[in-house]
Amino acid sequence: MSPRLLVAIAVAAALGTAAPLPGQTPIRTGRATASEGVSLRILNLEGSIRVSGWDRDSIDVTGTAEGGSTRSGFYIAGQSGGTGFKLGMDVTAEGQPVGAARLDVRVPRRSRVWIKSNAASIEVDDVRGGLDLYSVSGAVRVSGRADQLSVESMDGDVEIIAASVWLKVKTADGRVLLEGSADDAAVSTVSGAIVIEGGRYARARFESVTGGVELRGAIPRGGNYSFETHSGPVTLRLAPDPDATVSVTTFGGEVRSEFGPAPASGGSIRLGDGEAEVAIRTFRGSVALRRR
Amino acid sequence: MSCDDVRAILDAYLADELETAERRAVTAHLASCAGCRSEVQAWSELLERARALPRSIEPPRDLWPDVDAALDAAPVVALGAAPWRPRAGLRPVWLVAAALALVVVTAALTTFFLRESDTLLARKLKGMPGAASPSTETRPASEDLLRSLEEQNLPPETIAIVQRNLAVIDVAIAELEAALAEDPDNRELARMLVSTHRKRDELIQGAVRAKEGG
Repeated sequence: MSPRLLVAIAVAAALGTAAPLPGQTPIRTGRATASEGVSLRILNLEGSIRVSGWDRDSIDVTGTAEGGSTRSGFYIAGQSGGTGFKLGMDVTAEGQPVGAARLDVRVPRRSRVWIKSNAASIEVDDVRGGLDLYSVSGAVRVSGRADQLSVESMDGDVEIIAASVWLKVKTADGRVLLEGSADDAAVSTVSGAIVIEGGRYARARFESVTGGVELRGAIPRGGNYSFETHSGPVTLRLAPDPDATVSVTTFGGEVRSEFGPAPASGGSIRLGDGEAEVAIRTFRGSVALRRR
Repeated sequence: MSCDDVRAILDAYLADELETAERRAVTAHLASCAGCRSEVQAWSELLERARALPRSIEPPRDLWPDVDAALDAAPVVALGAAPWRPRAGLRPVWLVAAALALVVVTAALTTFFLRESDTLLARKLKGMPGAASPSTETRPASEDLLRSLEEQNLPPETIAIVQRNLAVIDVAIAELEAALAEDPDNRELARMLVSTHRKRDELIQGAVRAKEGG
């Protein structure tokens, strides 16, 4: 094997009978040296994936195949000290997982990580180089700092309790909970509810077709927030003494306000010095401005 | 500015709601990106055609005799102890006619928009395995898209999620189309329609990602 292709892995426990794919070494646990800004692709369709950033120049993987299987089909491939690694669970030619696994991966904090799951839950903590997470039905949770964060889930719930430069979240049915900060945030669902639990977003756009969108907390001064639904209710539970100009456009939704007369559709209400800008648009979703 | 960035604010761009700097950035991107330029063109055309829709569509005149004959032949069905009574001067037969006219109008609008969105989405799908060929661009969008997904051998549960959410989006699109037909110059409605179509695209694209390899 060419040294450039050598997989530098300290194998703690080699796995038995799964046939390795070219360039891949099946292992149960392992460690590889990696550059600080390493890129990882992690594939695990069933089970769980947990990734944490740490202050070391290595990737450390521990994992167990669920159900006591000895044919876990786990692989890790890369290059000593390299900038790119692939790890995860093999899939069959038909794209089916060979087995479910719980993977616990530690990566240099500035790593860029791409994860794909089907039903496996994904949990990432403090990985700052960029995250691209995809799940069909598994839940996704991100915490710590995640400077560039993209999460897409069809049916799984998404929880982002992280500080980001920019974040983008898309789901179909999955619910989204945000609690953190970002310069730019864009969240979109079809029917999943979106809850923004406080946080600070300089520019934020929250959209759903039928899901409700609820903000609980303050809108930062100078913030620019946009809420749009087709029929989902939009509720702002604002902290005391908000400073925002809230414009409302709705074609069939009821508008209620606990901050004085509710603005008519196409109108706006100025709260405090009106510093932040909030635009709410619904087709027939109700709009409520409430005191928290 | 990347293609994804542009797509995320495309509806605001088309509705002329972007701030100057952002608009300039989009325009600069469009100047160098044929794909996004083509998408903007397609959406602009859709909006133009939506605005040009008639406020109502008359059903064909020869429809009525058959309907009338069918109504005469239909048995009378009791609806309960306190039957609904029409207002004086408004014969039930005219109410039925009005309902039929509404159905015809809705069907026409739905067909029109499905064709339009079909063309747009078919363009997007051209690069996908099993995507609709140009000759099939006018088939109902959902069928083509779902067929493409099925051909990619996605798990049935993924297909079910897509179908469920497509149905949600399609209801929203139909409602927006109907509202836009009533008020064709309403830019806000047009913008919402584009935005909802975009979500439809994104849903399909999201499902396609399920098949991407590791």
